[in-house]
Amino acid sequence: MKRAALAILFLAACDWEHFGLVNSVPLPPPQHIGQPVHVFLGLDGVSRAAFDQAVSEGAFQGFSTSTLIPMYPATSDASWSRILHTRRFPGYEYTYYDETQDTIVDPGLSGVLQHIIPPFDGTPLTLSSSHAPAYYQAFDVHASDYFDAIGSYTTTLVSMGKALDQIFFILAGRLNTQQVFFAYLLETDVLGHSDSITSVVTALKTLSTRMQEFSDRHPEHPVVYTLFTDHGLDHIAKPPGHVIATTPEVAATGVRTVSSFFEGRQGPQPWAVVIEHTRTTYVAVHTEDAQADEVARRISTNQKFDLVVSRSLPATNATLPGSWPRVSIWKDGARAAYFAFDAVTNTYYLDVGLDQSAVGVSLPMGSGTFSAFSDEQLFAATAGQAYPDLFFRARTALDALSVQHPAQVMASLKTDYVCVGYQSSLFSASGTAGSHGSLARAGSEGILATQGRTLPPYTRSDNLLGMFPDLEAHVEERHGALEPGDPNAALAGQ
Amino acid sequence: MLLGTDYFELGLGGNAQVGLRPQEFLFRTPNLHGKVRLFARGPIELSVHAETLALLSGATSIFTSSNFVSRIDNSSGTLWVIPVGSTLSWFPAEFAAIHTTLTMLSVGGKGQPYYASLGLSAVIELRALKRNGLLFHFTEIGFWRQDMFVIGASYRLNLSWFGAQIGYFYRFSPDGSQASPLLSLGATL
Repeated sequence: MKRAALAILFLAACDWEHFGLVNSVPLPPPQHIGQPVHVFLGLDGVSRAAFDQAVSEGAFQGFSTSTLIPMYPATSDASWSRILHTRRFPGYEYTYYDETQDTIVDPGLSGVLQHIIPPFDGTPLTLSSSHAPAYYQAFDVHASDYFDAIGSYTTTLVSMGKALDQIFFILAGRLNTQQVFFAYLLETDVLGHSDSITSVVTALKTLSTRMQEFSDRHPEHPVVYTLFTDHGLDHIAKPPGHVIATTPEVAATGVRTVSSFFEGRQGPQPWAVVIEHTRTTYVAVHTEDAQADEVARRISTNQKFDLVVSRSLPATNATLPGSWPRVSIWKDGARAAYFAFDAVTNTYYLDVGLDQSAVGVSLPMGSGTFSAFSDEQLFAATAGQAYPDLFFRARTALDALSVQHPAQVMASLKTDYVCVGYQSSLFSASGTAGSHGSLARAGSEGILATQGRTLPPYTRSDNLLGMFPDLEAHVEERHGALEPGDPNAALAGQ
Repeated sequence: MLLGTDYFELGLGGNAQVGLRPQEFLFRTPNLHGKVRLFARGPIELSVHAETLALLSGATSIFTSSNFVSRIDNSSGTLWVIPVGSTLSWFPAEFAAIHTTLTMLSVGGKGQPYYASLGLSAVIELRALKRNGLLFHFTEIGFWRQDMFVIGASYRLNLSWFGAQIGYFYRFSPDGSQASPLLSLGATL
C-alpha cells in the first residue's frame, strides 16, 4: 500500500512537471484565420429555471434555447453516458448493484470517495477508481488539477473560477488546431445542491461574461457556443426531516431489504436490494422480475415517494404479444399506468386503467383495453407537464442503455424529500438546497442553448448528439465507437 | 554529477555542464541541454544555455491523469522546442542572489508553423542557514505578442549530497490562469 502511494506520488510529480512544461510553450500566431470554432460546454445540473433567470438578467443574449429532458433517473454519470453515447457506466451511480456478482459494489464511503479520487488513466493501475468514466474521454477539458473535485465540493466558487480559467486557457491554445472544443463544468451542479438558485444564476452570468470576453479577444476565430446540461435541478430546499435514508423507508412498506439476491432468496418475498449513494431524489431498487410490481406497489404506499416505475411481466392472458416490454407506474399503492411497447412501430399501448391525473397527462383514451399512442404523441403530451417525457423515460430507465446494471424498480421521491445517501459528519448539512433524479418536472428540466442552430422547444437528451454532427464526430474521435442508444429515441426535428 | 527526479546534470571542466530532464522521456519528450559560464567576476556571473526538446507525436496529450491537459496539440507530429538564452546572476550578499534570464524560444515541427517567442525571467533567491533557500520567480513570455506571465515561489533545501525543491506557480494569460506545483528531489553523485 505504501509502495502504491509512493508510486502515485511520483507519478503525480511527473504529471506536474510535464503539465507545466507543455503549457508553458508559447502559442503560435493565429492560424486558419476566419475559421469558426464550435465550443460545446457541458454544464452539470443547470435547470431551465436558473438559465431563464440568467437570460432575464442579461446573460446568453441571442442564444436559441430548448428545454432538455434527460433520462430517468436524472443523474449525472448515467445521463452524460446516455447523452454522449459513450461506454456504459456500471450503475446509475458509483455505488451500484452488480447482479453478476450478486453484490453491492462500492457502498458507502468507497463509492462517495470516487467522486474525488483523481483518475490515473495513463498508468497500469487497474482499480475501478483509478479510471475515469468513459464519458470523460469526450471532453477536451474536464478538470484542472489532481484534486480539484475536493475544491468543487468545499470552496465551490473558487473552484469554479479555476475551472473557467482552465477551460479558456486551454481553448485559446486549441483555436488554431480544433474546429470543435468540448469542456465540462461541475460546479454548477454543486451550487444547485448546496446553495440557492441565485448562486447558480450568478455563476451562469459569470460564465456568459467569460464567453463573451473570450470571443471579443479572439476575433480571428468566430466562436459558436453551445451549452447543455445532463439534468435539471429542483432548487427546492429539503427540510432536515425530509433528508431520509431510503432503505428503511422501503422496508417500512413491507419490502424486506437485503444486500444480495442470495440473502433475499433465503426469506419471504417481497425483497429487494436498495441502492443509496448521494443526495438525489430517486432510488434504484433491484429485485427479481417476478417481484418487481409488488415491490414497486408497496414502495408507492409510502407517502414520501412519488411515482414508482417497475418492469412488469405480461399477464398470463395477455392480448398483446408477450415479447413486448411492459412497464407499470405506481402511485399511492395503485397502478397509475401500465403499458406495453411495440418497438417495431414505436407505439405505446396504454392500459385503459390509466390514472391521468396521477401521471399528469391528458390523453384521448379509446374504449378498448389498450389505447395506442405514438412516441411523438406522448412526448408532446408530457413535455412541459408534471412528468416530462414520462413514458419514454420510464421505459428506458430499466434498460441497459447507458448503465450496465439497470434496476427493476425505480422510485422517485416527492420533490421536498431527498435521499441522505452516505452519512458522515462531514456531509451532514450539505447538498440539501436542491436536488434532482426524480421523474418530476422540477428536477428534470435542463437546458440546451446554442448560437449554432434553431432548436425545438423541448429536446429529448438522447437525441442531442445527433442534432450536433460536429460534436458527435468530435466525441467519436476522442472516445471511439459510440453506443447506439435506444433505437426509438428519435423525434421529428431532433 | 547531479541526479534528480527532474534533472540529470553532468559537469564538464568546471565552467560547463550538460544535462537532461529524465522524467520527460516518460512523456515522449526526449531532451538535452547545455550551459556554459562565460565569466564570473566578483558578484557577477554570466552564462549562456541552450536546450532542445522533441515533443514526439502525442506528447502533449500523454498524462498520468486525464485531469491534466495541454493547450497545444501535437498529435500531427513531432514538435521541436528550442530555447536559447543567457543568464546574468548577481550575488549582492551572501544571503541573496538575483538571476535574470533572457530567452528566445523557437518552436516548429510537422504541421506547425515555425515561430519564436521572447521571454524574460527573474528569480530572487534568499538564502538562510546555508542550506535553505526561498525563491521568487517572475517570467514574462511573449512581450509584444503577450502570451503569459508566470509567478511562483519555491523553497529549496540544499544539503551537500541531497537537494529538494518544492513550489507553486501560476501562469496568467489573457484568457485565464493556470496553476501547477513543483516538486523535485535530487542527489549529488
